[in-house]
Amino acid sequence: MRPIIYLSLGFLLQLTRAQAFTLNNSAAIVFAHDEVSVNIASNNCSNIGIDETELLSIVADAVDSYWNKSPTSRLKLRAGIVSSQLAAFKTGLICNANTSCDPNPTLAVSSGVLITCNNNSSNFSSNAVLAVTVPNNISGNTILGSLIMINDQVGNVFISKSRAEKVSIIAHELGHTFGLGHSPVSDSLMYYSTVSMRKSLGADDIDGITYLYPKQQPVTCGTITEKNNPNSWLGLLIGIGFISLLAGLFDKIQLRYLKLRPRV
Amino acid sequence: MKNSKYSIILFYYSFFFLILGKVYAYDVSLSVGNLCEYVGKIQTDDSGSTNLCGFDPLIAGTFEYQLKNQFSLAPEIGLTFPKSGRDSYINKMSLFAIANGKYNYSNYHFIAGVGLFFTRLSSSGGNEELRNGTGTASFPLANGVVYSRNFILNFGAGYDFNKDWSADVLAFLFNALHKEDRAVSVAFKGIYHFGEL
Repeated sequence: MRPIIYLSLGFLLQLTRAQAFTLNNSAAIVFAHDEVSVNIASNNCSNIGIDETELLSIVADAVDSYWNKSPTSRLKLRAGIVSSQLAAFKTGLICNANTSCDPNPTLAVSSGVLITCNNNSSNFSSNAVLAVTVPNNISGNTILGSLIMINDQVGNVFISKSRAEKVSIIAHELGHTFGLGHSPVSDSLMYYSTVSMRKSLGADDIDGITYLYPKQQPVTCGTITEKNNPNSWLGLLIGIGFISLLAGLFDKIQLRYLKLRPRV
Repeated sequence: MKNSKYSIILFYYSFFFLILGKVYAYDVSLSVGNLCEYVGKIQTDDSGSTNLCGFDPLIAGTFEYQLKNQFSLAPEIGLTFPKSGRDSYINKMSLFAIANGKYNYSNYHFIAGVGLFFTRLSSSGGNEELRNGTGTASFPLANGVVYSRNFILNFGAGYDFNKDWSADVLAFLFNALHKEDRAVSVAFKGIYHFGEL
């Protein structure tokens, strides 16, 4: 009997598989606050077929249809405002020339996420590249601001996408803004390529945002969480302690009439 | 404010059981089953299909206190078997500690309770080469262990086949007070009752 149990257990363990998410930096940098605003640079979009107001509407759908639905993460993205920005956001380089990607300090985003259209061909290796994203304002392990550039060159592919695809593209880029890299599996939002029938987060999208921004219910102590935070162990102890307290309370007060539990 | 509302729910729930009176008996049980995670929330293929129930086996132990008027209190601790990623980089498991109240009626029982649900994610670091635009890039992997903690409400029902065996269906409701990220996981369990030890 015992070898069968071990074999069955091993079979079970082999069959259970989770996805694999990656990060966009080795330090697992994250936004400090649980709510992050996503703003749009005004008057920069010429060739993507939509204006900034519609782009902001797409952002609202992207955050509400995807990332804000993760049940185990505390990060919430909010559609912000359309605001004037430097002209360099439309024409400048996202990374300094001749670097792997040292962010261009001229375009540092002071807070939250900024989405701009950009027509500099050096930012996009081809017109098939829909957008590029970099957290370009970092302090220690904290993201202060991130920048998304949508390919606004003539002949870009973004203009031909359906609205639903545009929503998923923006949602994908937003994943990069708060610390995620790509996923190897096509059913994930963070897969490198768009999928026409993208509707929900994949399992490793949820795992990735949870890893970076774990929820801490029912109470939290601040909004910055370090990895292996003792607060997490405290939560486990709270849960076990609560149950033990209830059990011990009844045992202490009313342990008087012990009878066999009436079961059929 | 949302977090304090969960604490208030916890307080009233525990107060309800304080007034039920004395303990008559207890029962220790062990259950094995499957957890269907976040039903309908996760995309599973390129055509837009979402999950119904994946393979996520669990094991749990319960210490049930028989109270009066067919009520019992059944704190339970359980966990899902650790998962390895498809490419073995990420390890995930879930743990839960729940305080369920049960109402027994004939061979049926009905369950309601509160608890904590922990999601454990871990990885050993390194890099993975993945497609990026028209080329590839080296993406860092997570390095370390993280726990997320959710306050959950539980609802369910079960059937007692005999004094030794029963079965339960239990729904874990995440973020009950927040529509934006509300989700439901469902656990199906077969239970063996050891009785009083």
